[in-house]
Amino acid sequence: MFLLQLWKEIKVFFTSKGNLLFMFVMPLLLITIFSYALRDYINADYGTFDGAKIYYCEENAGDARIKEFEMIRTKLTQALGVTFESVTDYEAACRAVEKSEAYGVVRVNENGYAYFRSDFNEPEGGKLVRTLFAQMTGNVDDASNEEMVPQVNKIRLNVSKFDSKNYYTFAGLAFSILFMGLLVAFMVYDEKEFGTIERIRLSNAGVPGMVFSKVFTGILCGCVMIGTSYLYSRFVLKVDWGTKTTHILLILLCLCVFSATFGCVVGLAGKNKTVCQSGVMMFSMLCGYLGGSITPLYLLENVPVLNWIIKISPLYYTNRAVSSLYNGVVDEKTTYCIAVLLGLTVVLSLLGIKVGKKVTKKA
Amino acid sequence: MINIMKNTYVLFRKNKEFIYLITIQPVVIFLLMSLLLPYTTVHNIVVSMDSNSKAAERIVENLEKLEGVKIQRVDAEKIKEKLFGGNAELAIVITDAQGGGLPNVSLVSAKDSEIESAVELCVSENLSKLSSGEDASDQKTEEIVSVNGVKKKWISISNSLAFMIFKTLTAGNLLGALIIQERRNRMKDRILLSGTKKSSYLLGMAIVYFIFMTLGSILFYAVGLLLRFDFGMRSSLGFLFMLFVSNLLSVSIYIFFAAFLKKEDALGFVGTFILMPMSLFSGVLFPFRFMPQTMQKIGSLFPQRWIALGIEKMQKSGEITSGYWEAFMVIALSIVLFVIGMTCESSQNKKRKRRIKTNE
Repeated sequence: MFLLQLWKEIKVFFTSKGNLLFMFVMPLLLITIFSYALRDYINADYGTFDGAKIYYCEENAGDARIKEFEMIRTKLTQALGVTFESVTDYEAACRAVEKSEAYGVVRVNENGYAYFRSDFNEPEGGKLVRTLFAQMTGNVDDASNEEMVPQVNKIRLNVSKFDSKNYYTFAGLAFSILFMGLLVAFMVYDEKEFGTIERIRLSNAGVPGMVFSKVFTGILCGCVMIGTSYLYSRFVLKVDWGTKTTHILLILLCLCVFSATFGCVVGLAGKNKTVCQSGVMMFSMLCGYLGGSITPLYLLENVPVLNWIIKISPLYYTNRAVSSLYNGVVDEKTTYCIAVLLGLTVVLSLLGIKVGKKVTKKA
Repeated sequence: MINIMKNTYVLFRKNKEFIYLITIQPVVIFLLMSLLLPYTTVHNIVVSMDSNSKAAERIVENLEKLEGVKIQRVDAEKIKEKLFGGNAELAIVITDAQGGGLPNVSLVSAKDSEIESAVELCVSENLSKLSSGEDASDQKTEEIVSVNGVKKKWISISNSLAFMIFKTLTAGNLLGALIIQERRNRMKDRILLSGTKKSSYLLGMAIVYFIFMTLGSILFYAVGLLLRFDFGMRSSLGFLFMLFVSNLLSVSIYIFFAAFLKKEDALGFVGTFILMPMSLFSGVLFPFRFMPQTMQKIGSLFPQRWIALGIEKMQKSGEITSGYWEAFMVIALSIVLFVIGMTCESSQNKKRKRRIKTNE
C-alpha cells in the first residue's frame, strides 16, 4: 500500500511543471548567480593598493632623515607599488587627501615624520601603508647587518583553490535543498485543504503512510537537485568535487531528509497556504543568511557575537563540513553536521507526529 | 488639498502597520543587515607561533598593529583549515631557529594574495631592527612618526546601504495600496465630486506620505549616528539628503504602479519582481564594486545604483555637492513617474465614467 501511495506521489509531483522548474532551475540559478557575482570578492582581489599614492614635503630635514625616507620610499614602491609625489603646498595636499586623491601627506623634518590622513575616508590600503610606514622608520641602514637577518620563507600549499565557484556550488545547492521543504509543505497542506486526510484515515493506507510518502518524494526531489547540480558544476563550472564526494553526498542527503521533514511539519501545522509559504521561506532565508549561503561563511565567522548566532543555522554545519570534505579532510565537522541534521530531523518528526495526531482528530 | 492632506495624515497615523513599517522595521533591518552583510575589505591573516622568544612576540605584536589586516592567532594544525575555508588568505608560521638567534618566519598561502608583499615587508623590517639590536617597540615609532587623530567608529554604513535603499523604495507600498483601495471603493470619486482637483488629490496624499517617510529616515539616520556608524563622509547630512531623495522616488514609483494595477495585492509583485531584481544588480546582496563588469553595467541603469553612487561620491570627495548629478537624475525620474502616474490615473477615471455612462 505504501509503495502505491509513494508511486502516486512521485507521479503527481513530477507531472507538475512548477515543481520541475523549481527542482532543476533553482539550484543552478543560485549557484550561477552567486558564484558569478562574488567571484572577485572571494578571490580577495580588493584592489587594496590600486592608485596608491603618498604626497610628501621635506622641511629642513637632515641628511640622515632624508636618506632614511628615501629608503622607505624605495621599499614601499618596490613591494606595494606606492608612488610618492613631492609637494610644496601642504594645505592643498591635505585637501587632495580628503578628496581621495592620495593616502596621506608626509612632512619630513629633523625630528621625524608628521603623517596626515583623512579623518573620514581613509581607504584600507591607506591604513595599511600608514602603519607599515610607521614601523619602517627608525631602522638603521646597515648593509653589513643584512646577512644576519633571516629570510622570510614562502610556502604555497597544495590545496584546492578556494573560489566562488566551488564555494557556491555547495552553499547554493544546500540553500536550494532547504527551500525544497516548501514543496513538501504544499503537498501535505493540499491533503488537508482538499479534505482527503479523512478518506485516507478510513482506508487501509493510513495517514502516517501518506505523510511518509510525501517526505520520501521530497527527499527524491532533493536527490535530483543534487544530481543536477553535480553534473552542472562538474561539466559546466569545472568544479571537482574532490576525493570525498561520497561523504559530501551523504551530508547533502541528510539535509534533504531534514528539509523534507521540516516542510512536512509546516504543512501539517500551517493554517493556510500563505502561512506555510512564509514559514518555510522565512526559515530558509534566515538559515541561508546565517549559514553562509548568501554571505560567505568566513565573513560571518569573523564578526564578534554573530559568530555565535550563526551556529543556530543547520546550513552553518553543512557548509562548514562540506568545505572541509571538499579539501579531502574528514574530521569531526562531518560527524557533527550529520548528528545535528539527523538530531533535528528526529525532533521535527516527534513534533510532526504530535501535530499529525491533532490534524487527524480534527478530520 | 489641505483637507486631503489632513485626511491622509489621520489615515496613516492610525495605521499601526504603517507606523511600524516606517519606524521600527527600517531600524531593525538596518542593524541586522549591517551585521549580516559584513563585506569588509580587511585582509584576514592567521599567525601560528611555536616560539617563546621575545623577538617572535615582538614580530606578532607589530603585525597586529597593522591596520587593514586582521591577525588571528591559531594553532599550527588549524592553518590548513583556515586557508582552504577562506577564513584567512595568508598564514604566518613563526618557529625558533636551530642554534638560537632570530626566529624563522614563513608565509604560507593557498593562492595569490595582494598583501603578501606588505606582510613580508613588515616581517623583514622587524627582523632587521631586531638583528641590529634596535628596539622595534611602539614607543620609539610614536616618537618618530606623528599621525593626526581620528574618532573611532563602528560598522560602515556601506554594508547595508544597497539593502536600505531597496527597503526605502519598497516603503511606498502602503500609499499605492491606499490609492487603489480608494479607487476601488469609489472613495476617490466621492472626493473628486466634492470639487477637489485630481492633481491635488494625488499630490496631497503624496506629500503627507513623503513627510512620514522622511521622518522615518531621520529616525534611521539618528540611530546610525547614535551607534557611531561609519558614514565615511565629512558631513553625514549628505547621506540623509540621499535618503530623502529615495523617499521621493519610492512615493513616485508606487503612484506610478498604482495607476496601472487594479488590486492592492499586485503591489507585492512590484517589490518582488521589479524592485528586487533591479536592486540585485545594484548591490543589494553583493558588494557592487566587486561584481563582474556585466552586472555593474546593468546595475548602473537603475535608480537604486544612482542613489548609492551619489552617496559613494560624497564619501570619496568629502563634499555633499558631488552627488548632485545622481540626486538630480533620481528627482527627475521621480517627477516623470509621478506625472505619468497622475495622467494614467485621470485617464482611468475617464474610462470608468464612460463605461458607467454606456451601461446606463
